Amino acid sequence: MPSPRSEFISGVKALLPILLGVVPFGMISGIAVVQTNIPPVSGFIMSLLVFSGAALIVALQLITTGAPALVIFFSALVINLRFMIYSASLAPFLERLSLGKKSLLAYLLSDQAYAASITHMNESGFPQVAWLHFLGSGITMWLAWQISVGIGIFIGARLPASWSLEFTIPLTFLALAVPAIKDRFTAAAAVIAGVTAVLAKGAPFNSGLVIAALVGILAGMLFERRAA
Amino acid sequence: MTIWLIMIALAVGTFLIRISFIALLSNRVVHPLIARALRFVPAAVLSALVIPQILTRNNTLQISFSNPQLIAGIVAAVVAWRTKNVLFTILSGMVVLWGLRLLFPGL
Repeated sequence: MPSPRSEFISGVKALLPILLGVVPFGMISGIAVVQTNIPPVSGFIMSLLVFSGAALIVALQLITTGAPALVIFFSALVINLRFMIYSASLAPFLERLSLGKKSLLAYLLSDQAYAASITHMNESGFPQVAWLHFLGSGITMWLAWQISVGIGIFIGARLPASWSLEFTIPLTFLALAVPAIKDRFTAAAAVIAGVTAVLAKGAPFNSGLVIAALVGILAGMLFERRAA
Repeated sequence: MTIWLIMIALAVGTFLIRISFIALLSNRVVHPLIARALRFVPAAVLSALVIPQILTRNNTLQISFSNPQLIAGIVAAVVAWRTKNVLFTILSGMVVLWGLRLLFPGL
């Protein structure tokens, strides 16, 4: 059986190559946070609380447009629904841990830590220590993320508006959206959600994102069922 | 004040989603219908997020090739598809946006 220490370290190492994408994304999220006129320190505390860049940016953007609190809440949560997939997939490897450890690992759950650890956990024959691999990836991701967001918040307040850096936000989401399209059914979900979002842009209470996401999910399911 | 209440609700809600199957529902099997729906979440949500933002300039929808963000977005999408690299995607989109602004100052 591998030692707990070596599992942890291999988890750290598995995440390191992904940092090339994480650091710019974190910095851009930090820049985006200050562009919504949130005071820098508040923005950083929010990042620590939520630990989800996409949800934080969307929530702050909606807050500046004056959307109702419930719409902001659901729009940000719908973005994070994907964590439920990871949660279900990780659960069998963590079932013997205490609630405290489960809570810590749940807080550390991110796209990147999941991606860096799931294959290792699936292939490891030692569930007693395999969770430490995820802990190593999770802590590394968390540290890199929060530091990058902090730097972004710090420099964001000093960048000229003429650079149009706000456009890096949709570009970042685009970089995540394209690989999420894996087959014609997920492609259908993406296209229909995108078109609905454009049509629903004027929907009451800024509810367009939630409506479009639900329509897209439903469309993907229907296409898949018809093809089956 | 409201903003902090929203953030705390969001932090708690996100944590509950993350811990859902790890601790709260750990003995339940994911309902097949939910599992099928969850598969479409990333593609649908991210696309619903990105497409209106790319097409919106100065708070109005502008669906035409005179919108440099549309061209930059298309280039970035191709780069994302070919490289699967976040950094290259952002850089290509920003370079095209800046380039178009430089070439066509009226845009």
